[in-house]
Amino acid sequence: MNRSRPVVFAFVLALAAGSALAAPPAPATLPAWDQLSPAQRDLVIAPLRDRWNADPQARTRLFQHAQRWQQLTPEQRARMRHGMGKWEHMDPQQREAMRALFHKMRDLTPEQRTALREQWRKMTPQQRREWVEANRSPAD
Amino acid sequence: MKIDRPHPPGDDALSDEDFDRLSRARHRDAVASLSPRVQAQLQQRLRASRMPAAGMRRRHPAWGLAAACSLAVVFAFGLQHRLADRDTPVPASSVAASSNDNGELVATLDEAPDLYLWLASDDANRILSE
Repeated sequence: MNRSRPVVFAFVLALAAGSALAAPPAPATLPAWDQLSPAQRDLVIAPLRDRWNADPQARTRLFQHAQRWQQLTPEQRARMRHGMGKWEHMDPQQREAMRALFHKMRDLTPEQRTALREQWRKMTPQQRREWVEANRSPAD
Repeated sequence: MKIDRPHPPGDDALSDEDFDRLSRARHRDAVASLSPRVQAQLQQRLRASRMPAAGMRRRHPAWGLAAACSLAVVFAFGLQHRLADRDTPVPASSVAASSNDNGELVATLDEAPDLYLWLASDDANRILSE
């Protein structure tokens, strides 16, 4: 048993060495956008290109959103990413409700928003569904 | 342990020399009856018991192998570290693999940025917490 220890030890080490060499190198820190090659930039924006080409009707909306994003301050962009994080965890029904509430609230005064919040809080799930249906947000 | 003295038929009193001679003869017969494989094993064990240092010498190659593997591990990790740190052009495939924001990129423009901003507001927080 004792004689086999070095062999087992060597075998484990050899496995570790093999896996270390076989494992892909850790992702290197990528350079800034301007330093990326054209091929690398194409890869990064490929999903957006697909989205753009797949839905001609959405191009105006996508472009307007890009223009709006351009106007945001770095602090607003950080908050926006925070909001996006919440959005990602919502189900379609919840997203529809939040979209309707957002479009409704942005035209309201602070007092009216408070009133709507209070009204929303008292609604039953069925009443909320009906309210969302009645206040469905228009396409941007 | 009881040892039976060999008793040739008709002879109850054996001298020490006779006893020794008969014992050796029986031993030779017993050894001769063993299979070649068992004999080889016995000889091997006998040699091992006579040379206690030999076992230690046999271990040296294994430990040498272990040490070599240790060096290989250190070398492998070191090499990997250097490759990762080196400022070489990143292949396009790495860019795609590390870009976990592909979905986010589209989502950023799919919805109004102001909707996302509002979702991070107190108004939205109060509604979502209810």
